Amino acid sequence: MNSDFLSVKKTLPHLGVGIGLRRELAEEIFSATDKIDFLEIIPEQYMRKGGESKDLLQRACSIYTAVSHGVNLSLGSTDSLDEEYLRGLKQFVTEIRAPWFSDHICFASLGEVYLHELLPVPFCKETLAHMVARIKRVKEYVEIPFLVENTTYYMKVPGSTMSESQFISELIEQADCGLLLDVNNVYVNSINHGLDPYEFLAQIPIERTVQVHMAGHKERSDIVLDTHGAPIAQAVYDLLQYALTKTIVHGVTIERDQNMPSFDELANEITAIRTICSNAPLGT
Amino acid sequence: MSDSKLTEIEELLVRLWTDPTFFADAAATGLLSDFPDEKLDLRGASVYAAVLKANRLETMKAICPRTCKIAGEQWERLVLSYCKKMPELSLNRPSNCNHFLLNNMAAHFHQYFLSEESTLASNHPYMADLIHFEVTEAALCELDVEIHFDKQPELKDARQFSSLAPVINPCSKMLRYQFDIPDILSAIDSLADNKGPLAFIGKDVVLLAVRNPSSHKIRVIEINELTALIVETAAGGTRSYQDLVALAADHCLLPSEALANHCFELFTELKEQFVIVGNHTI
Repeated sequence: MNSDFLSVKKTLPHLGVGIGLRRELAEEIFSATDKIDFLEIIPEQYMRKGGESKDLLQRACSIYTAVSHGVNLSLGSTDSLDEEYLRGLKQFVTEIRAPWFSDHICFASLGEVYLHELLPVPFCKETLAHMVARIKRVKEYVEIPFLVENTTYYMKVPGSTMSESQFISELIEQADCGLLLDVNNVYVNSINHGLDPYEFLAQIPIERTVQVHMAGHKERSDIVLDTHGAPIAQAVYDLLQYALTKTIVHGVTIERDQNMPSFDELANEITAIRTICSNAPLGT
Repeated sequence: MSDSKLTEIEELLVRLWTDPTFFADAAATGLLSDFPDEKLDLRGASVYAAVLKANRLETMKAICPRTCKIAGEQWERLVLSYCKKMPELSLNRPSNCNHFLLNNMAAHFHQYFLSEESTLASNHPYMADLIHFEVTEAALCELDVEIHFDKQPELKDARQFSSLAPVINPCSKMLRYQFDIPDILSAIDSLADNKGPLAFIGKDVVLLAVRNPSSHKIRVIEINELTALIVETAAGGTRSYQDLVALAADHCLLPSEALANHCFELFTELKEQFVIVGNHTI
């Protein structure tokens, strides 16, 4: 398929290994310029906010290159796209001088009410057409490269007629956007739905990956949960290593939101990721 | 499947995840209405139900921690009832809580409490004021307003009253309550988690919640009606200190020199408390 995005990808900066900015660890993050290459910032935590949030954002961006990773675009919702949100997002990515921005393949609002959670959509042609149109509109409005992230889904959504890999493949190719590949999500979905994660990576247009997410999960007896609250599992490092044999990525970030460890523990994870990246046959 | 069908599916899912009665009915049959051929994935549906509930409770607790502490076992019912009512409360309202920023989730909590929670309100008569304060405090903390904290020109003595006008901190809010909220906040903070309800005697208070331009912390100051009038008047538009002294003269019996001295002290105090953050030259 013709792709402007793959040409755009070649022009994007290589940001290295980064981490999601979290307030609990902000001071350590700001001091660790020898360990962290860049930051990923959730716009909803800073956009249209003054006070402490604004100070923190300004400090972060004075030290690091930052990319924007949103949670409320609600690409899968049939609510109209929130114009106020889009304006705020465009202003935000401009302010932080983000080379790209991202959000999730999910819905996050219903009946104009935000649910503040990444909720699964039915994988079918109709959802696909709906989301492709919305991604195109977002790309056109925000005017910097846009990536969508594969999310976890804990239940088969009624009305689904396609596999996740089919859905994602058609979505990012038809919308001609990039992929933020969350390898922990790939792993979690593979366990919960009895899939082969390597086969999943072989089925999607992995060459559209610009950024990779790494995170920890929680294994319950009946289900695996994407908690961002545990150390990264070896199986997830292995998936990263495999993904990097298939494509060049421009950044890898760690997401940690719960059970905050010492910063040293996260620094060790950054080092482990850096080692994998430096050995990647295609480079990063 | 059309967009309207997609909407139907999303409505069905959100109802399944947020309405325990609907969930129980679906779990009993193992099916979802409209999809008789698809077996309900109960395990996955339970995960989303738990996550959405936990998110709502945690977000509201982060905004209203003291209300949560006082409500105790009633907290979960209170928050989930409010969330159920939220779509209609927020409809066509400018400060709607159907907003992408988390703190806006509590935008109509006070209004909901007043109209729907009479039993809880009679057990805790101060709770309405407490909710209002906590929601206001959270909003003020994040208000996206630049505070230009100008030291010049400085008000040095009463001879400058006619040539200068105060700039009121845009991150401040006047609050009128029927209970002494600063006292109640202290009492709740020192209350052990398992203690019973607190009782307070009503007392009308006028408070100013002010965000410090440097530390961004919110400070609450109790003020009298005259100070409230002066601050409200100054915030309403450019008014010289002389105008504000004249306003004070209409409401107190001090001789002019004593009044000028009193007002100078008041303006100095308001500046120290970051209520006045600069001066305009007239």
